Amino acid sequence: MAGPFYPRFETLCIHAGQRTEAEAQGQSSVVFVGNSFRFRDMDHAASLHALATSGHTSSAISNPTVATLESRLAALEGGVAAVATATGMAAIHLAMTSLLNAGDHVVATHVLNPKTRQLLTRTLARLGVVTTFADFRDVRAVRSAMRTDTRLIFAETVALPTGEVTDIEAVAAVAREYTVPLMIDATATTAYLMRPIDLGADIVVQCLGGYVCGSDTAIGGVVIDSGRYDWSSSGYYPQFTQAAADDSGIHFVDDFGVHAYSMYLRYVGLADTGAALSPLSALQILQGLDTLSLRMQRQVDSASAIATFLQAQSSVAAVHWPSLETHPNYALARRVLPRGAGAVLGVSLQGGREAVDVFVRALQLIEHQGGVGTRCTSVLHPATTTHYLYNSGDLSQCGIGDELVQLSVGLEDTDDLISDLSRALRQVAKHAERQP
Amino acid sequence: MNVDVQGQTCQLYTGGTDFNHSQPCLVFIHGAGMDHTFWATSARYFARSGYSVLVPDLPGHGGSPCSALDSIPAYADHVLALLASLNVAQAALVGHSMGSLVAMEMAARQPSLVTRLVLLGAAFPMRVSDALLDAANAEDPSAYDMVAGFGTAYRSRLQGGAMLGGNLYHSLRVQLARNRRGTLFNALTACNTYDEDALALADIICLTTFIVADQDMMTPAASALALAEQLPAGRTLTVANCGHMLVLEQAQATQMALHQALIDGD
Repeated sequence: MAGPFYPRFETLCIHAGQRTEAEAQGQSSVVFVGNSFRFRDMDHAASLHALATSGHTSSAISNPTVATLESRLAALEGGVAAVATATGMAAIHLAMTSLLNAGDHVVATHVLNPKTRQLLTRTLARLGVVTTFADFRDVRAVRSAMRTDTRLIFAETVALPTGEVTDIEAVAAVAREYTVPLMIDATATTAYLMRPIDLGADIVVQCLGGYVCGSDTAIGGVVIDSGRYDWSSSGYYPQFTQAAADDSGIHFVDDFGVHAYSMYLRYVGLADTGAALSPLSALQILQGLDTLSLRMQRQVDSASAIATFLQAQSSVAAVHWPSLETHPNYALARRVLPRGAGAVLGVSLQGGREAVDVFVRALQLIEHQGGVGTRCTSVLHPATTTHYLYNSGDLSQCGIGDELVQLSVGLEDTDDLISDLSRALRQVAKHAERQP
Repeated sequence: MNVDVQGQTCQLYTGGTDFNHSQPCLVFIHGAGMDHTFWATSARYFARSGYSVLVPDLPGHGGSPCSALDSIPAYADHVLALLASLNVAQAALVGHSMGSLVAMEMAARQPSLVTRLVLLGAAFPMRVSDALLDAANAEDPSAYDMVAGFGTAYRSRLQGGAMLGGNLYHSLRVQLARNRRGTLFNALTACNTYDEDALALADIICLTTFIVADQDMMTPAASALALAEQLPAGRTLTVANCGHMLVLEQAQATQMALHQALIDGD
């Protein structure tokens, strides 16, 4: 917890990270769109490049508008620093490749976002990183998957769309036992619903284009470091604990202490990948953050009403949302997500894929598109889209069936959404009646 | 690097360059519960500006594994022994908070060694509240909240401090929580018990610059201003919109003040 001297969530959403008047003139966010920044003199330029003075050289590394967003997200999540990236996957890529070396082993949840799973099984596997996917519902399975060469545990706050909630405190205990960092993808919840660092996570990654931006006008990602993992004592990560093999003289732990990882992310990882967030996107995301708490609570409340409605419909076989008593993670969700388990529902329809097809075509207000957490309510059929590369065994393990629809609840009037869903479900029922 | 000081291992940071005896020596001394990384940016700057820089982790702090000391003279003994072991004959000292007391003690005791003092977040005596001492003694995290809260200006807590994309408040709490048991309490006790009986200000004869933060709640600006008037060669520079953790809050302004105190004043 932040303690008595620290501003509260809604205040941070609006003011945190905002620099001095000289830089930002007043309270509104200012966008600095330049690629590079003017140096005062030769000494200033050299000092900035030697990391002997704090400041910006190029927007590929840092930018005042992006830095405001980064500081704001670090403040909200309880981290020591954040580094923003062009997309959510760029953040996960940056966070993982900055940590892992060839021959390292990762333990990840079996219900991982398909893009993250692909990063692990395709790109990182090609580079010599091996991943074991484990059932994180049972912490003993996580412990069983650990090896002497395990260097990272990765999970998500809530897996979409089935709603599996990670018991971060329990998994963090395993991470501490094996002296490896725990990285958590908090896209599905944001700091408004849960702060993984408070529960023991070492690193938080997040896609910013959904709930955080809210308007569906920008994409972005972020890596937030808790600063708590002791890189020196484990000895697993020489890139932080040994001097760089160049003339910079930089030794990340020695030079930057609790900021070693975030500084490595920025000055090595971000510099190498070129995955910096555009300042214009940062501005749009900052504007979204102003209203994050209002929007998220509204979306969660709407999701709750819709989940209750859907549960009562005969065309619906099951609703997967951890804040429902019927969900296997209900007790855990009540403990770690007291404000609600996000606004994405998994809806299993009676009648399989054919019913899904009828349902999606019958919707008039709700959009048929990917993405979660934005202002527009949308549906998606994961088995044929996000999870289309999965074989039947993988789909079954993830709880993704042909009958499952992902419903991301937005900001429209709840009754209008229920009317649209009701109309589409009637079409599903009529279609079922016509079947022989 | 690690050096042996009086039989104990001491971690020493040199600003990312090798220590060079032919250059003037600049010693940075951190405050209670901090370590050399408090000074890292400044150290890297001056190490590239013609100085040989030494930034020890004081006993019990950071990478120096021995127990924390509980008196300012004992910390001064340690740093003096460190300089002797490196054959440093003269040095300018930069101290922050508790480090400023250590630097003053060294200057009073060995005026021929200390060429110049630059003191940030300084006060003498430097009283510590019972609430903070009690919390530190109990290893209660509220001690970290108090240091991070009273140690920074409100705007710095909101803005996140000098680190790009950083959060100063959380960073300070994590830094303080990393200390070994007893470190913060012993160091704060050292500050609290160091008083007029232990130090004669008249013995400090070198040029002494106080870099003062206008919103310092732990060592208020008025304390340093009064202290500067008591020294034979005292002067002050002020950093605006800043609390007790100057280099972590207003890095550029503080670095310019350090530059002015160390280089421009020659």
